[in-house]
Amino acid sequence: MSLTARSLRIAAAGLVVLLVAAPALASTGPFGVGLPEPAATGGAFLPGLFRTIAVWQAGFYRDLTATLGAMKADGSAGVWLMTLSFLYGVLHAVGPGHGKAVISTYVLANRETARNGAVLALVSALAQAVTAVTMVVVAAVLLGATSIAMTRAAAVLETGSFALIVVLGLWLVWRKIVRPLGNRFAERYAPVAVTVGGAPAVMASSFAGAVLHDDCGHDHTRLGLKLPRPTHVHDDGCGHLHAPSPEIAAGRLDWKKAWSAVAAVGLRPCTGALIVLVFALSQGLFIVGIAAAFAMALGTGLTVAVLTLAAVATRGLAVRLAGAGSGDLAYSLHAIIEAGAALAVLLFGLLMLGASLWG
Amino acid sequence: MPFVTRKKTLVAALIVGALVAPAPVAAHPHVWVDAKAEVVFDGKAEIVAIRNIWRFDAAYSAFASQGLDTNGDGKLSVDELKPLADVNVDSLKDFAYFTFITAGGEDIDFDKPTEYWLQDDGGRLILFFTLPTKGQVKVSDPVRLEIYDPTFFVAFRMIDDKDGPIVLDSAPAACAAKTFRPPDLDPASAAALAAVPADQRELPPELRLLTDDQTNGADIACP
Repeated sequence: MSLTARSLRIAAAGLVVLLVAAPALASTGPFGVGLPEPAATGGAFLPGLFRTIAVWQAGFYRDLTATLGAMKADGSAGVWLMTLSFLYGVLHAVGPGHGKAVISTYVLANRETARNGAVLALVSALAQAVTAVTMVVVAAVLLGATSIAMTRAAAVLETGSFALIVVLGLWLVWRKIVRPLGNRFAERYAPVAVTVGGAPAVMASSFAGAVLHDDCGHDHTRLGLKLPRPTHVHDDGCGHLHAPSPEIAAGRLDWKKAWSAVAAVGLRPCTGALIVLVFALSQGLFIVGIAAAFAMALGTGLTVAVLTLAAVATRGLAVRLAGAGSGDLAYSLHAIIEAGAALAVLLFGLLMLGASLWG
Repeated sequence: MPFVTRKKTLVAALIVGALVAPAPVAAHPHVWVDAKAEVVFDGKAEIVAIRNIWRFDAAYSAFASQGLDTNGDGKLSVDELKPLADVNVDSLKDFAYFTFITAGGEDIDFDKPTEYWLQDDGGRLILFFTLPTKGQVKVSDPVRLEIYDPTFFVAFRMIDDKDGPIVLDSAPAACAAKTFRPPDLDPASAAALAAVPADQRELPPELRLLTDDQTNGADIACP
């Protein structure tokens, strides 16, 4: 049995437990049925534009449900339905939502390549559709659960999704901020036995170049010579670049690392997809509903992929703007971007989790 | 690090930060409600309760009533819908029932709903619930009743109905209600909105009307 099939079975079993035992953990929306989209309290950045997006999205959503209703009588509306679903997905990604924030910051923090970022965006959007479809199949089709139970389960999944973002943020902060700083601290105040020139000199030079160090695990000042700034001098024997290109830093997408980002995004089923799926089910058009859910996911995934590409391109631009090629400045800039993105993931997760638990 | 590059670094970091910042609040409705309200008077020019009648859209009704046809007869009875009505009314408490009354510039509070039920109207659910006001509300100055969702998850709109969307119950004959609705977001208005350049903060007045919190309700006066 393949790993995917097994994890699907585990997920389905988990969902059953959720449906049966879901405590009213989070606020479940004004009617207790159908979760409102979580919205981070961000700055009022281009409010008019986002209002416009919301208005368009509302229009597409209404057309979508109306077209789905019409499909019962006239099957030829299918292409139009898929188009509407796709466009709704596109706007969904541009509007509020935690998916793009998590994926793009993860990509920045981990210095993933543009290609990896795009793949991550698509996979996590599709994972969200899989969650929605699985949930409706297990809850509505197999168990005949009520919308009340489904909404509670969705609320628990949402809280789980935010908790995962916090975990992801902690992990990134550990890897990108705590460990590098710790290493630097350790190497700086390491026993000075090897040092010839005496500790004070080493400490002084290290302070000067505090940000310029990397965590490659060795000390350029080990020889104990008082180094003029810049702190480290490259030699061919060193065997590394201090600002490796994204390709070298990330390589192929490491699923062992990336699954957490995918799960954090994919765990929370989108309310629009749930409503469309259950509505389709009630109209005897469940397969059409599933196709619509995946068309939505495709629209969302492709849009987040484009946003991720923009994030990666901006990172490159930022480094170039600073006039840094591959020297120490580029290195420190990359380190700052990574640290900032890691912190952003953590803060975002804490904000959403806090709102979900105590909001 | 020379000063100029530090400044450039800051600029670059800001660009990345702006890109990464969480999205602002801009939800869109998942629920559409045709609203009707009965304003209950005590026989004098004083309001004692609001009876809300809300009809949900077909998709949301299908979702909300999922799994509730417990006897499997293909029909949803008031009894079968009772658990949903309970959850609805209980959850609405945290949203001030989306019902807001201001009298003389003061917000009036409501007690818990006294009677409420859901019924099925050909695939669309209708929620009935009565909200008693905390004390009588004198209609000496015009009273404003608003039914809307500031979070934009629910799109409310007073319906056009033969009795009108607002019915005044046991009110003195002189009392009257004047309804106002959110503008219909027809494709033309949506396109007009979309055509507003993103860097334009101030919407033209005719468009501002479209986005101004989508207020919906009535002004009630007893001259």
